Amino acid sequence: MKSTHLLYSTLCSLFIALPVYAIPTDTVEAADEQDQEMDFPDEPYYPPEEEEDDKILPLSERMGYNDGFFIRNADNTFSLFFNGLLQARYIYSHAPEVPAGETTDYYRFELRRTDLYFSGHFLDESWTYVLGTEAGPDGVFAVDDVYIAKAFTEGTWGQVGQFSTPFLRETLISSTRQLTVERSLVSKFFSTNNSTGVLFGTEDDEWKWEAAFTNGYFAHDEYVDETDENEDVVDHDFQNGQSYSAITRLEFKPFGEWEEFRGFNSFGENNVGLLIGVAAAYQRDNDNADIEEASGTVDITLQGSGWSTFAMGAFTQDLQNDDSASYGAQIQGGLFVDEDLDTVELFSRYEWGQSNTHVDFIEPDNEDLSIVTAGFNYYIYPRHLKLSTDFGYSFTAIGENWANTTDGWRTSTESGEWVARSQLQLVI
Amino acid sequence: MKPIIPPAEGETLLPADEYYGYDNGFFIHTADNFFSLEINGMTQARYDYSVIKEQPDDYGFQLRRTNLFFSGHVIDDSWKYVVGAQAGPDGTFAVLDAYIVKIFSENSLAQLGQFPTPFLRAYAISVTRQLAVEDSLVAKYFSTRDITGASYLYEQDWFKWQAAVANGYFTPSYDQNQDVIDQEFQNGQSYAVMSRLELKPFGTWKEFRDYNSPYGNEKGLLLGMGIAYQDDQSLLGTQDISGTVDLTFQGSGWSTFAMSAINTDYTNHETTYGAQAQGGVFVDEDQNTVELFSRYEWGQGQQDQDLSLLTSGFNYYIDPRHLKFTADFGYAFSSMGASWADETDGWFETDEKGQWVVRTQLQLVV
Repeated sequence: MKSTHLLYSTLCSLFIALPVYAIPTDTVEAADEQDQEMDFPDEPYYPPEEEEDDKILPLSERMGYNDGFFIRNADNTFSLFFNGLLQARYIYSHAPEVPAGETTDYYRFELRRTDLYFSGHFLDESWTYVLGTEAGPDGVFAVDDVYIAKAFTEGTWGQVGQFSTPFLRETLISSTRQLTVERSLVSKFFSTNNSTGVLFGTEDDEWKWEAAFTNGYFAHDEYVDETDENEDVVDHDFQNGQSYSAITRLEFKPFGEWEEFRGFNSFGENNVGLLIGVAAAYQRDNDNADIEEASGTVDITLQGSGWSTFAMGAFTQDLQNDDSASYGAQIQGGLFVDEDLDTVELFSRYEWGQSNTHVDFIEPDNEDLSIVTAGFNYYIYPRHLKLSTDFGYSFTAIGENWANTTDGWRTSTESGEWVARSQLQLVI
Repeated sequence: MKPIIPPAEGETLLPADEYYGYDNGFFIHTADNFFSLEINGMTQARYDYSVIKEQPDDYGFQLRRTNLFFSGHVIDDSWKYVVGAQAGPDGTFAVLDAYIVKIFSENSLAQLGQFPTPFLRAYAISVTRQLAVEDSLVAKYFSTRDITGASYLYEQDWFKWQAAVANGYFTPSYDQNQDVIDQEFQNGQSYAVMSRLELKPFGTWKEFRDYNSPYGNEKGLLLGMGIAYQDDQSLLGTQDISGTVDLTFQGSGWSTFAMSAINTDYTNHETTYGAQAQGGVFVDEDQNTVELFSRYEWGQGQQDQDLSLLTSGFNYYIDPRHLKFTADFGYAFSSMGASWADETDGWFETDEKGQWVVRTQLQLVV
């Protein structure tokens, strides 16, 4: 029965971009004969008859707020959640030496992320969807996450669309649940970000495994654009029809709760938990760039009541150029210092990297990175309102591979660049 | 974790029929009113016809603005949010307003994010509440528009003061979605400060939210003045200062407005002046559906580019505040220099006098 279920889900996925009524009738009928449990509608949906009172949700459960505004129909066959995010930030950075044409000081307000997310389920709770848009500092809304997911059993699922690829833990954690104002430069370099494709995942109490097959992902070296204002959004230019990637991640959680690992912040109510992750990614681009590369990462998260630690290492190897490999690592920790362990969190992070890439496809471009960042979070209301401030100092020059102007780190030719950032974040 | 405190025993939750509904926007509240969401939308479908001497006529339909707004509060009424997206005629959605508001008292608040700047009265009034099909060219030139920064507002019954510090503000251009801030100008090397003071000897603040004063409104007078300064340390290296004064006087069924503004560019030693006067009158006392209006605007811009423009037309309110049909006719007694021209709204750069524009618009607000 499970294999039939999968077969049918695959058939549905093939037609996922078409309106429901465009699915060939004979295909639906054939599937219905094999699996009567699947009630896929081939006609307009009608609510249940009045006599099915036991299935009708009370009004208070049909709409309200539960980590997002929601609305459901009376028999819970459809739901819609609405979430939003605002990150309003001020950045001041100073670089002792900068390329010609730039100033040593850089400062501005910015709306780092403005997100509007719609999600929910349809037909039954095993079919879910996410439609997420995001505007970066450039103010233009673009698709962030858009996918349809199908839960096959309680612990296995598949999804198709555009989603966060299962590779780097720091990228998989929402930007709203980071420890510092912004993710590390190391994670931005090695991240596979979002990509369009399919994913399969399975999870139990201790293990979680995800594997994805997608178009090539937003890339490390050659495709890094330090001035890209909305880097969270997938770089569709890279999805050129001649590239593909395979990405997988395995997580082991000997103790702790999955829910408590959704963020880098461990409030006082959290239990002691340990999470170990390992991931690998491969991509091939057969167009003129002819890129082939492999990446890997390992990470460990150990946290408890009011404290959290995280360390990771990552590498990427350009398989077309033996001398083109990049390495990075980071370690960070956070500690709540107020009596209730839920309001004031101090943190610090150190990141290190060494990139050897072929930006110009001719000579390797070797760049080192060594940055320390420290600051605090003030939770006005946890999960909803947070003020974060941090200060970062670079012990090295910041090369083009690592620089990220949007987050304050500009290309510099001398060590000693520093960045101060303060951010008010609102999540609904 | 700090809990979201549930209502005390015996404390009344919102009645069920107040959870959701429509009140100048679709809304949904939680029963304890800790969270709220309001959704608004707006579209302006327009047809323009421009006749420019020595040039081909220009005409066509356009969706001048398509807006989606989400707003509400989190945890308590003192923390509010606004996220508004707008698509101009080019059809691309971009952030228009996105800010967080903290209300300190019933008289004061602060906001952080991207919001309308406190300078020109014309820009503080929503595009849905203008008198003509579109704002004046003078207002567009001097406007500091929306900008990313922080502001503070203090208000009493008879005066209102707001000040902001922000990135450098938008400058005139032919951008198709000109309401939306020119992010490229926020280059990390510019800043601006601006402030606006309003005095209201009589009338109500709410009735000054628009230029339209239907029958039933009480008589009101509003005096305003604003000042703005920006400094761009980038390669542009511009420094300029702007000032404006305005007066709004309105009563039951009629409204008048006059303003003037000045901008001095220190770097290029150029000064631009502008002024406008306008009036509207409802002609059907019983129903408040038909409003006639007229506006004259004048300007003297860089490199002696003058502006002299007369616009007249009418509003037909199919449903006040929600559905409005507007038509106007504009005639330029002067040439149209690059500083003033606005192709999106039908005014093209030309050395010839006598350009005229006819515009009709159907506006829907939900």
